[in-house]
Amino acid sequence: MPLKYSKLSTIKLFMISLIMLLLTSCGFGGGNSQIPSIEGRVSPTFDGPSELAFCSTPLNYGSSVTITGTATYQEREAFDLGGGNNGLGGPSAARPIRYAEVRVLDSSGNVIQCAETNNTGNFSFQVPPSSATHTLQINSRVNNNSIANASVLRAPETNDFYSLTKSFTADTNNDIGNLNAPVTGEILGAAFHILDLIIKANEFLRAEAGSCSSAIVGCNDFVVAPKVSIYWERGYNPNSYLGFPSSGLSFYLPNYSRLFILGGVSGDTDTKDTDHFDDTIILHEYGHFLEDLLSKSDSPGGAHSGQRPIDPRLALSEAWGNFLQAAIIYGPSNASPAYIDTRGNIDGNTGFLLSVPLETASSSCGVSPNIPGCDIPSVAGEGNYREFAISRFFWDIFDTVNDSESVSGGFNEVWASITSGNGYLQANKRFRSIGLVNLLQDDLSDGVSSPVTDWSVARGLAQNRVSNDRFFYGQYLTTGSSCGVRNFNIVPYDDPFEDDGNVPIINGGLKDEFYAPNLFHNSHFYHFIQLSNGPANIELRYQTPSGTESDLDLYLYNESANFGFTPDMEAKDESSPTTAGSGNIETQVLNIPNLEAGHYLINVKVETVNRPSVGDSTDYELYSGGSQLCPTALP
Amino acid sequence: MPDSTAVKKQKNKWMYTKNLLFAFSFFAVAAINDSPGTKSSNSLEQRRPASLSTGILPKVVTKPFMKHTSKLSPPLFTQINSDNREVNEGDVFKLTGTFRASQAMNNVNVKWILPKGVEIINGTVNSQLNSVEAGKKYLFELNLKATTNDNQMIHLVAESRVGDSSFSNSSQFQTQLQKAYDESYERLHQRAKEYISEK
Repeated sequence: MPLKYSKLSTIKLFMISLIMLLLTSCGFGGGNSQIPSIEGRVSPTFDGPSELAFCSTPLNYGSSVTITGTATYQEREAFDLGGGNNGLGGPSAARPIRYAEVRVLDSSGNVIQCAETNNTGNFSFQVPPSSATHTLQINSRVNNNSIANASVLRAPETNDFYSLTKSFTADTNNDIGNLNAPVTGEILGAAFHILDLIIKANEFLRAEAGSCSSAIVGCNDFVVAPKVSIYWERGYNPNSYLGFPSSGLSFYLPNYSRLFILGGVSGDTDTKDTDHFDDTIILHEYGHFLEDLLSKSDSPGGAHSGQRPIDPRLALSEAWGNFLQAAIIYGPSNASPAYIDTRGNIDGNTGFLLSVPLETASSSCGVSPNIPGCDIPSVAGEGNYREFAISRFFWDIFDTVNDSESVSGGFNEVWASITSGNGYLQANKRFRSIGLVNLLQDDLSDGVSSPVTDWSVARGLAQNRVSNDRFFYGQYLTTGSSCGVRNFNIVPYDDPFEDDGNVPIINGGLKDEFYAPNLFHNSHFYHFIQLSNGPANIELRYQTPSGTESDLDLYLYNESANFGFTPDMEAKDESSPTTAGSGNIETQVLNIPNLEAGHYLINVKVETVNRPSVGDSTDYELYSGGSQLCPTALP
Repeated sequence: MPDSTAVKKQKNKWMYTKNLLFAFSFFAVAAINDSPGTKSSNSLEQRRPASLSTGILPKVVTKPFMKHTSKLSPPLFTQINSDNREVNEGDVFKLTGTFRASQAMNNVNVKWILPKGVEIINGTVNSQLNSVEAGKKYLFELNLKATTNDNQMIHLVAESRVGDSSFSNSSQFQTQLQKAYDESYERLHQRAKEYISEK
């Protein structure tokens, strides 16, 4: 019988000790293993031992010698020579290891001095004169409330950091030279490269939003981000925890302040995907951390490929990460920002896993509209469902390379919109999408004018087409008023993608209705609040006035639902029209005996896959408890 | 190609580690289920929300057992299956590479990256697919013979360009360590699920 973690605290303690013993004895803890640690791992959420306390307070000695030196790291940079000749290159020039923890140990292993590398990677500290052998550690951590707070660690099961080490004697003032973290062997350069990117991100945020309150009323000036733990190990794929060890993945764990960066697959770092030198990926995932700690994300998470309309919450969250990494890496005057994910490196076999331009969609999109990153909306509001439409929109707000729009320097307004305590972060705000960001930006003020900047032109660009109209997603509905008979309208869209011959067959021969649905055209989503625990009745009444009658279905999702995931549906009615033919009033009803108080998503969805025709323009209305549900501003 | 001495040390270290860990496996808290080993070193049948077009098609929408973000998925997918997951020197073994694209593409290059420790019995190392249908599987078989007991990494790489956009993906098979890795990963996944379900 399996033992349970929560019931056996003594055994849990033993297990933690055992894990540490195994990882250390096998060389994993010391960072010298070529094979990633697997057996000692448990979960990305594992509550491992506390990180060793940061060595932050320099010690004073009456008699001392001064030791100096320099710490550097190397990285690999992406290259693109055209014609498909691209990937991750060889070792770069040495870069300074900035603001990293410096720890000095005596011959007995006692900490005798603490310091920090400076902005150029130099360090200097005093220790008592001694002919004994001391150990200098440059560690993959920064703990500085004026710079950044981050630790690059091996695994949550051990919380051990990476170190560049050197032995020295302190018999006289001494420059011990350069310590360098390379890109080969243990690839220590990766740990320090990741750390430096976090520092860079904080520097960017201070530059862009460090004094935003002087330009935007109510904006929270950025000083430094909270502490983040970044887990990375050479050759280890964090997707192994999730059951997909051969498919490389980097991810952020919401509510844990933990990033997991792909270090390779089953020990391979030269041909399989790695992310430790992919600035795009590291900064994108850090963007999720910032969302989690300083803003608010309603994203249900999940996979995305920049090809199809997706959940607007997911689209916004991913677009934010795409935008942030480009803003940090490329800066506002760069005309060719991109999302680049590489595979392997030049020592093995390398290429771009994918590369997506972020200023303007690829020229190939006209011919191949479904390649990742095209994401070109066809009508207003569709951009709210498309990750790269939103990414391009954010970029247009920020950059100084103005393509049919004249907005620039708008990062602080984006920041103000997504971090405002009386706006975006309000407790009653739910189902946050780019629509809400735009709405809030419209209300920003510099004390004289509102909005501060007019985003409407950038919103309306053909490759963006994002909207500030909440109707497109998450419009709040409430009873207590009348809004006309069949006040809503949906025009079913026969998406050829949904008729793909690969649509899975489920449930007695029916095709999977939730296979790659066109969420923009064939679904409407409304925010509904159940005020108190109790029965709930939601009714959809619809009519196709003419042409072919459509078949609308009604769903009620919980707040964190993944679209199409049955356990996330509080209720559903997928029954077919009772009276075939246009002009008839059809109904779908949800009767829920006991619905918990809270926020829900009503989904009116056109059934498209299992019908010969998706139907024609259809009008509908919604009711709760017999009273009409009408669009209302959130209180 | 990996240095044979380094790989041998690597393999020996792994064997020692494996034996040591097996001895301690009795004390593992989580249920360690040695699931029947699959012969694939990749899985195309991953669970994804239905709103994503990946060419990997779930029968029903499922959800990861733990909420997390995901990086952007490329449109190319590869997988390697082997008729032998623990290949010794002299063994002849067959690798079947599978390629699939989430959308129609032209001019896809699919190639095997082979180390020096294997020799080709028959099969084609480099292939060009002039026109690829969305979701369709394309198979590439290779019969090899291991010429060493050192662990060898074999890769299947797919690459394509669409205008100014480049895409690629790869899969991996390890001659000596694949079985051990597969089983180790299965146990890890089980531990992770157990740990999260208990919290």
